[in-house]
Amino acid sequence: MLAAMPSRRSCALALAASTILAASTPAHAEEPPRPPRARRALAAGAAIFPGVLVRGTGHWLVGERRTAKRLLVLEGLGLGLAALGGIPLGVTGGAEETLPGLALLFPAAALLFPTIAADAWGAAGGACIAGTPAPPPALDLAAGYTFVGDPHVPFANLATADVTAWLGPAHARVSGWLGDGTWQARAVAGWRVLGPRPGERPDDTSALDVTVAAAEERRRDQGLRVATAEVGARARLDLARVGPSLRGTFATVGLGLGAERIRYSATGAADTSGLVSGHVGWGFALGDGATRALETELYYEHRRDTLAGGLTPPIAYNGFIGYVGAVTTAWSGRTGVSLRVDVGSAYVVSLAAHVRLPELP
Amino acid sequence: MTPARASLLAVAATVTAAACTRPAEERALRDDDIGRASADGITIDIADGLAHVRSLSGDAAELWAQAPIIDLTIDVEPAAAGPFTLTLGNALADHALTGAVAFTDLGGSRPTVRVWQLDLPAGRTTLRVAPPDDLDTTTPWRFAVMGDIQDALPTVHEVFARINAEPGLRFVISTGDIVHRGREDEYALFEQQLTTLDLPFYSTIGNHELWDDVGRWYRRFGRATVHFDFRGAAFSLVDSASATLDPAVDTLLDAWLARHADDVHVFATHYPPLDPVGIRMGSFASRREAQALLARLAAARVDVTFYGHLHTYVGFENAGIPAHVSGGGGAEPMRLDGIDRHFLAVAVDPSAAAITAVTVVRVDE
Repeated sequence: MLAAMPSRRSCALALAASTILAASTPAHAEEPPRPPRARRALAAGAAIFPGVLVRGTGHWLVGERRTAKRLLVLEGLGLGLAALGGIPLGVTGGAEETLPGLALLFPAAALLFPTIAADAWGAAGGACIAGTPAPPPALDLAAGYTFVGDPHVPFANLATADVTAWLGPAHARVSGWLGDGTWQARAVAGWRVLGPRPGERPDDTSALDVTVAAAEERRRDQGLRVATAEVGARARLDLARVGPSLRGTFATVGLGLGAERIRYSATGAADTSGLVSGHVGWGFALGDGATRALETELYYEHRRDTLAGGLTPPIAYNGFIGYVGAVTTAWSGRTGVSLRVDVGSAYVVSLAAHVRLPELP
Repeated sequence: MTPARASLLAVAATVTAAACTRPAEERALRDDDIGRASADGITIDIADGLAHVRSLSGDAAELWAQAPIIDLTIDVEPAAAGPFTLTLGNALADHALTGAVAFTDLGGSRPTVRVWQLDLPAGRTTLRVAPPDDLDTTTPWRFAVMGDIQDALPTVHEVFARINAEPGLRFVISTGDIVHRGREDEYALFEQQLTTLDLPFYSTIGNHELWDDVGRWYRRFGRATVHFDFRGAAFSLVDSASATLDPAVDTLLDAWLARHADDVHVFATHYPPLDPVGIRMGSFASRREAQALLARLAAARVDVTFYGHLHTYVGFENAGIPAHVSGGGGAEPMRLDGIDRHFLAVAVDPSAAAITAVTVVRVDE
């Protein structure tokens, strides 16, 4: 059965929240105060609690009140969106008619969770070690290995390949994995609506991309063929826009809609199922972005159709939980290496070597 | 902090936030211990753990049935030979005891309780508890399916009353979420409410049984994963309370699927493997696992699948198998769907090796 999808209006509203943030006034010019180390440690702790309730507590304690206020406003926006999308879902027990509200929950989460990390990072003085992100490469070739720790699948070792190419605002990515009787091929085409393109070194790394994707997967041992089609959008907000103490950090939010066609070779039967995916992340850049660059992102992916599946916490819970992960990519000149760890119902660890054009300036 | 150290810390933070890949492993192991007990020179062993030994002493045992046919052996040391009272809860009203032992049928205080007085000899005694008229017949028959009682425990007797009024049902199978928070008083209330149901209630567990000590389930009712055969049909009630099947349960299921590829086979579990709507809250944690499970059910020609968790009714197909989500036991109902409290009445025709009807019976009409 094909899913009822969130309406275009809801999606547009959700993405608009991200775009508004990206369009806010940059705050690069304001130099942060330099409080003593002990005060910073206290403030970083306060950013977690009571910061989890009142965003900006950490920055307030180190005297960066403008940034503190902005973080609090972002929390308020997040709570508003969460209430708008979540209350109808909760009150109706998840009635189909209220599912479009899901589209508001992702930007809400993107405002609520990364702001905790950002407050702690900024209050701790993260700006002192923050670096400059590497400009996007026009061509990124990667090959690697993925380990899948999942007792429910008959494979564990996969070879991976990944190619991303840019032409102006257009970009395309072809990737895949293969091993132990299974393979997947995936193609993504995208358009950078706003933000830096290859060869550009802007001060502000905020960006908005829209994408379409298709994937085909075969699992010979399980007699399965799975085809997926998706459309999506992903926004990145350079958190230096919120305050100078957050230079070198960023927040990400993504939303996708799609459908999955599952074919069972034993009987010839097929199921079609809807997909709604979301992404919320926070990350930081280290290095000068010229000779060396390293970027790390911690994220939550609201989907269960990837190798990682969804989290199965050892406590009772209700609802749909996706998986968490972290990815680090380091560049030096023309070469790079990336490490990705995803944790859901399975552990997935991917290591890849990269070659980029052009090399870091 | 160096860039490398910061990155390692970030990755480590993610990994420490991890869950385990076998959250249901402890329950799968616990299932293996059900149906065995020893005390005062008496040892009881129930085949396939299809009944739970609630209590055992030198002169009495109380069992809780999780299937309509129970085979058991009782080993008696010489000093323990003599009179022995066997009480079976969650029984069929027409359950009869057979075996090479002298006994007296004491009847039962209500339709789901049976009591026998045995004169146990020393050594091994093999017994069977079964409804004799069902053993060799191939005439059509019916059973009920329900799930998701939770915070409606105080009023579930109204659902049971409607089930009692439905003619020809032999038993109820449940997809779990009997209790809301897993508290002892909720289990006690459920047992009290069960006294109003005239049929046995065979159930797996749902995520709400995990809300507190799941041992409360095991101490009262026994296995979370149950398989039995009855009157031309096989029933696999499988524990998916953690939104996944443990690999040990997968192994059991594969054996049951292989054994019953040519029979009517009913599969019931709490979570729908794939959400029938695709984007709601109820499905397995991994779509890959869900797809693989459905592929195995389809290859083994399972006849029907029953799920709970969603507090509504949805009829659909998965992997070409008729599927029914039925969470109408009274738990906070889904709004706007017009369904509310209900159960399913399912008709089996053993001679045709088919499920011939699945009917939604509304409680509040």
